[in-house]
Amino acid sequence: MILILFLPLLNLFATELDLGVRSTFKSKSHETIYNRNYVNLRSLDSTEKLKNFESEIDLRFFIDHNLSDNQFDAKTVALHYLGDNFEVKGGLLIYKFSETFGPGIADIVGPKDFSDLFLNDEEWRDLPVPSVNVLMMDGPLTMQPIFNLVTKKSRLPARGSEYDPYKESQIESAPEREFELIDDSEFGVRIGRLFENGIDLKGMVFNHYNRAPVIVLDQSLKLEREYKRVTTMMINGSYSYEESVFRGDVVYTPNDLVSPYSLVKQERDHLQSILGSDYTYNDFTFGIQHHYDSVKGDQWGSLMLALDHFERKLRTELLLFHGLNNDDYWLRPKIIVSVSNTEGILWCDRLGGDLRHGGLGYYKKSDRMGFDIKASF
Amino acid sequence: MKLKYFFLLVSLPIVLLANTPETILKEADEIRNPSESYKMAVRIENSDGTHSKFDVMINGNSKTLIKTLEPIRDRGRNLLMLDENMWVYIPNLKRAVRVALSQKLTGEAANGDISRMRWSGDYDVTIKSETDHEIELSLKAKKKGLTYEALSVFIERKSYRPIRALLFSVSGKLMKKTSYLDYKSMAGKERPSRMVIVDALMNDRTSTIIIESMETQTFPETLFNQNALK
Repeated sequence: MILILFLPLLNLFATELDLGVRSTFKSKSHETIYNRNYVNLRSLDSTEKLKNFESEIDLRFFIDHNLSDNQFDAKTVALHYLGDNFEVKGGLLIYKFSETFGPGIADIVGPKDFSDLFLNDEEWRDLPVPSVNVLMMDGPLTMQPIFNLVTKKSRLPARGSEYDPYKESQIESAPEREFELIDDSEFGVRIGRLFENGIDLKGMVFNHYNRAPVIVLDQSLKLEREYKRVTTMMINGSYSYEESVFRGDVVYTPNDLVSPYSLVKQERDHLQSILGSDYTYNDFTFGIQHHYDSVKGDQWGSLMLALDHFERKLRTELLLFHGLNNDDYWLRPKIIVSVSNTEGILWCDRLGGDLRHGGLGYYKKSDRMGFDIKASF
Repeated sequence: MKLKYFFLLVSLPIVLLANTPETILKEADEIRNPSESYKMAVRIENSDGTHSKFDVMINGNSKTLIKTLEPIRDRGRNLLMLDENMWVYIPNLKRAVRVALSQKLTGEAANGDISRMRWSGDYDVTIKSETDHEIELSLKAKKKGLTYEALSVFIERKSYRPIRALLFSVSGKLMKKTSYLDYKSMAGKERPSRMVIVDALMNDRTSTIIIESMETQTFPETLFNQNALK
């Protein structure tokens, strides 16, 4: 009911508004993992007086019945200046550079919400960073220098919550490091070219603090999150041939700070890649991907089947993610129903694996079901 | 006498040019839509009762931005076409994803049916047959990745207005039939405002593309990039 009070805001400044409820609970015990009522407000506006300017606002308010924090996410609050061959954008921004689906290995510019690992939809997982970027275009060439004013940390599972890897232990957490404006800035440049044969290739160099969380025990035997400044190079691209699309992301970080095992940190050259293809014919989509991470030499394969029915009013999806040289697996069937301006999503996540290899074995008791119902105005 | 020969000599190439399949196709394209940049409001009605609305911004034949307005569940599912390459913005993923030009947009309409609306340049053209009032042009794709591999386009002889078209797949199979109807004055010319697409196998499956408005307008280059898809 409280959320309905947001409706007048639609007339005030937003052009789009969603009211929704999103809940997940453990499949076996039916214990709630999270239960949220949320409001999304979005606006993309240009005014007559300032023709080259555009404002973009994307806010999410939510009341989480299991947590007391994180009740507001300013996902994007930005001002754009549109020139003929260039665009300047500044504010709180989300950067999405991955061509492939799943963990988003190429989305290194901004932080992520890992509160429930990588199981959340990308819409909920990506977090903004205060940043400025300029996109310059010259025919098929693009260049995009990016400057993050300060490093923003990825959000980890709250202590004691379902996906906290240390929830069974009584070890306290050490205070988190605070990053300083400008001193802890991040910067880089992305260059892209769309070739005549249809290959769209992008390359990027970015200097930043390590994104994957590394947690160790400090001298007072508290859990401490460690950071290191690193430089990442990446290439990603896509190519479309008839009904098939080929995609790839390759990310390389020399001397990255990584955690191959729990509470262990190491500095290693870190290579990650996801290569895949998907085929779409009318309402049917079939996708496969190969994932590689050099930290433990893990390889995974993923398969996605999706079928739209009744002009996308009903969509059924099946995602299978399985270790190729480890026992990890993640199975997600999903149903999406859209009626008028209301959308309902029902899904379940089944996780498993061996604790010694891969990374999902620890969470095999955390199978969950979830639903999301929202009305858009 | 000399003057007569001079006029004959000057007018001969014009007469020859006017009747080539390429010029007929160009004339038909000029009637379908302006060659410069323009904006359209498009509504698509499907035989199952569903409908969609789009704002389409086109810069020549190589750059198109399509903003989806309705249905509400697809709002934000915007499309960008650069040459024969296409991206769709998926609101749930908050990012642009590469897709094929021939991929279905809604009902019987493919992405390319409203994003790539000129045939000349994309197809090799020959005259297949002629009658007193219409010319049948045979079009074969010059490039890979176009919406249709081949078309038979029927043009009205006296006005070069497109009347109907047969659309073929890579294997040469007839996929759809299209009719160009309701000529109205839009963007300075009489143009077809309704395009009816019928499935070749199941004739009861149709989509009607209605151009509600069309006006010439210039756009900045930056509008046609993946960042502008939001």
